[in-house]
Formats: sequence, structure tokens, C-alpha cells
Amino acid sequence: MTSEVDEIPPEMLRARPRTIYVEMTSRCNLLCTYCPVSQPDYKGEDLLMEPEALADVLLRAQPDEVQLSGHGETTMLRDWTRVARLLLARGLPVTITSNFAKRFNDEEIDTLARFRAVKISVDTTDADLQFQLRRGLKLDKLTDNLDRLVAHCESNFIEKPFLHISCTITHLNMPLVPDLVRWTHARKAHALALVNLVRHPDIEGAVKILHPSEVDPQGAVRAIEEAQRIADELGVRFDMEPGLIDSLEVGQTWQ
Amino acid sequence: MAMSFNKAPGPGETRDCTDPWNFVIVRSNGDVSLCCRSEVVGNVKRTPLPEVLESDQAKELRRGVWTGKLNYDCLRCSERGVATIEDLRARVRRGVSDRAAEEIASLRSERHVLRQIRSELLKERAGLHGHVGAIEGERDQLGRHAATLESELASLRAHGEALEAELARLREHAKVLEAERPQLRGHIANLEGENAALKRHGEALEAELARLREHTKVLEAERPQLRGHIANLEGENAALKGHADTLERENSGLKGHARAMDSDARGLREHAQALEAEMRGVHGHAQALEAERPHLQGHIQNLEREVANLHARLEAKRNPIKRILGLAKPK
Repeated sequence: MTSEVDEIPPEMLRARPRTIYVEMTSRCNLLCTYCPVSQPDYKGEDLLMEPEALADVLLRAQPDEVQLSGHGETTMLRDWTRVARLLLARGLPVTITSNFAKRFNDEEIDTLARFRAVKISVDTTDADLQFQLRRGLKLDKLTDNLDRLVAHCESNFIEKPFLHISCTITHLNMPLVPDLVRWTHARKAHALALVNLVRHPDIEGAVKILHPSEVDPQGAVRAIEEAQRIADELGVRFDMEPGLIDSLEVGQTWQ
Repeated sequence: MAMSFNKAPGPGETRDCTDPWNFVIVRSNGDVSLCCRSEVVGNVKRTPLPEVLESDQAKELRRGVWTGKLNYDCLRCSERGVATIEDLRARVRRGVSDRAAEEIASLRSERHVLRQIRSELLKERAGLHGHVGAIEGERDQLGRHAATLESELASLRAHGEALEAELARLREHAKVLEAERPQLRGHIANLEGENAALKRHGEALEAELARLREHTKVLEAERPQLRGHIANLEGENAALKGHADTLERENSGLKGHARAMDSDARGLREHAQALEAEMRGVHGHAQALEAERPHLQGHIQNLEREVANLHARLEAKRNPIKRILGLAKPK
């Protein structure tokens, strides 16, 4: 039985999609410890949809953002730039989340430079820890890609995409978040966002990760406060998922 | 099973999330979800996206967040926080109302204009960058010119000071010269006297020069005749040289002949010397033989006497025998 409070006007049930994620592939070139892609029973696949048809679907929805990402790594696909350029040519506001793990060629860099926003997954400035958490990601290669992207925009007077550094928080990288703010600023990125960890079953042979609330929630809060202070000083936008703060304050666990 | 860490909404609260209205993810297999962690509400391979978004499953998800009666995925969501139901509904209303849609359309139009303006501004910025570069280049050039002028000014000041010092020194020197002037005047008078003497000497030299020039003219007049004489002498000289060469050649032949004759003479002399030496030997031998001759003649005589004796003795001896044999001749 539905109460009056639970009544919902029909127009309030209508969708107004502003952000559409298109998972071009659910395969990935990394096996990050915290990602469901790394789980043994995970199987990835590529989106089988003609770019023109995809563009038509997206144009009808008129979103504010079309992100070419999901669980997988879009830049693994051989013709990802062709799809991206087609969507850009149709006037769609394209963004992407990428791990920047492979070295991009000049054409890929130029394509990324045309995006509205680029979100890059970077968990720490400690290259060894990064390699353990992301299982194969080399920080210097990622950095080189990012620096080349910024330099390409600057030298060609292209407005730089909004560069968003995305960091999934574990008990291992939490203390280094202030350093990551400085790194974000040094790389001329605009923002750093902390992502709350969903802990999947431990992976054999991989470093064991825990949620900060399981180890030192007060220390995590102090690190976040310090990171916020540095971000304010440097003019870096500092975001975090509200669920992260809630989890550190309340520590409610769900399985 | 994955573990989520968050805070669950309490009474009167719901998940602070408008994703079921605003967010769509189309998975690589065509599945459609309304957030990264919620259940699938349809599949675009089977149903057009607009229909999927208005499906019962999609509406049920929205209804859950609207009412706070959350499904398990939303309860355990680690991303979003917690909001009161009223706050959440207010946000949804702002997001989905027609007025909001009009505002969004207006904002989109405005954004389009702003993007065009931004594009123009970017172009202008690129142009200004070039202009700034040129101005900075010019500034550098002017800076260098200013530095050069400063350096030149300092140099000129130093030169001015040097000239002032030189002027003061010259003034001092002028005073000294003024003091020396009377003495110099006397010296000048002497020099003028010397000058007059030199002029006279010069005039004498001029006269001598004129005489020498006249003499030169005479010599010039003689020059052709001397040249003819020289030519004759040179002809004679050439003839004598030819004759001398002939004589030289004859001399050379005679010298050869003389050398041959000398050689023959030396041979003859040597032969004569040998003959003379032989003759001296023969003479010596003749003399020795002459010296030996008396001795030999004495010896011959001795021998002849001996022979005679022998004959006599022989005869003496012979006679008895002959007499014996009857052969003796009568004496």
C-alpha cells in the first residue's frame, strides 16, 4: 500500500539523462586490486554497435556529457579514436576515464585534447605502490602521457580538457593523498577526486587492501584535511565521494 | 561478495542521489543501468534507449530513491551520501521540471554562445601571444640598446673628463710657451738668418743645376754618335769572339796532337833509354871482354906454349915408338 508521502507525480518519474556512459569495452589492460575486472570469474567484451548508430542514440538524448568509459579501458580498442572523433564531429560533449597505462601516439593525444574532460586514474605518487595496486601500471609512462597532453594543448592553443585525477582510496595510499594533490598541481590538472573503495574478495598473489575505516579512520580524516588544505593553497579542486566521509565517520559495512 | 563502506539512510532520509533520473550507463553487452552499481533496467539491443529509461524497472528505481524505500544496491552504495527525502525531492524537481528543462535549454543555448565566444577569445589569445612575443622581442632589443647608450654615455663622460684634464694641461703648457716666447723669437731670428743663407745656397745650387742641365744636353747630343761607335765596337767584338772561338778550337786540336806527340816522344825516350841501357851493358861487356882479352891472350899463349910443349913431348915420346916400329922418319 502506497502512502500519500510515497506518491510520486508521473512527471517526476521521467528520465532527464544528463550523463551517459558508453562502455566501449569491458576488457582492461590492467588488473587493479580493487576493481571487479580483476576478479577470477570476470569476463569482458567489446560494444558491438556502429559508431553512427551510437551517435544517433546519443544525439536524441541530448546529454551534457557522453563518457566513453565503463569498467574497461577504452583506449585499448584499436579504432577508439575514430569513434571518438565521429562523436566529437557530431557535436557531442565527449569525456573519458582512462588509466593512461599505454603510451599514446600523437593522434591519440590530439583526440584526447579535443575532449571536454579527461579523468585519469592515479592512486598514489609512490611508483612502487602504484605498480602493486594497479598491477602493471608504470607511473612514469602515465605521467609522460599526461604531460604530453597538456603540452599539446598549450602549444596548439587548444583549451585544455578538464583534467580530473581519480584516486581510489585504500589503507595503503591514504597517507599519501596530500602528495597526490601536489602531483596533480604539478601536472597542471584541475582536480583530484577521492573514490570510496568497494572491497572485492582478495586476489591471490596481489597486495591485500583494506578500507581506511578498517585500519585508521582518524588518520584517514587527517590526511584528507591536510590534502584539502594543500589543494586550497594550490588552487586544485578537491572532491571526494560523500560516501567516503560517511564511511570514515560512521564505518557502516555492507556485504 | 564485495564489501561496501558507507552510512545507511535513517528514517525520513534517502540516498542523496539523482542518478536514476540523470545518469545512464550502456554496458558493452547492451545492458542499461542508471548508476554504476545498480541493477540492469533494460538492454538497448532489444529495446530503444528512451523506452528503457521509461521502463517499469527504471521508474521503480526512481520511486525507491524518491520515497526512501531503497533497494539493496542503493542501501549499500558507497559513493553517494545521505539526504532528507524532502531535500532529495526538491533536487529532483529542479532537475526534471519543464521549467528546469527550459532553463537547461536556455543555459545550453547560452553555453553554446559562450563556447563560440571562448573559441574567438582563444584565437585572439593566440594572436596576442604572437604580439606579446614580438613586443617582448622588441623590449629585449630596446633593453640592449638602452644598455649600449648607457655604456656610450659613460664612455662620453669619461672622454669629457679626459678632455677637461687635457685642456688644463694645455693651458699650463701655454703658460710655459708664453714664458719661452722671447727666447723663441731670438731663435726665430737666427733661423731666419739661416734661412736666408740657405736660400742663397739654394740659388747657387739652382745655377749649378742649370749648368749641369746644359752639360746634359751636350751629352744627349753626343749620345747617338756614341751609340753608333758602341754598335761598331760590339760588331768587332762579336767578330773577335768568333775568331777567338776558331782559335780556341784549333788550339784544342793542336793540344790533342801535342798530347799524342808527347806520348810518342815518351815512348821513344823510353825506348832510347832502354837501348842506351842495353848499349851500356854491351859496352860494359865489351870492356869486360877487352879487359879479359890480354888475360886470354896470355892464356892462349900459355896454351900455345903448352900445346907446343905437349907436341914436343908427344913427339918425343913418339919417336922411340916409331923407331921401334920403323916408322920414324928420318930426321
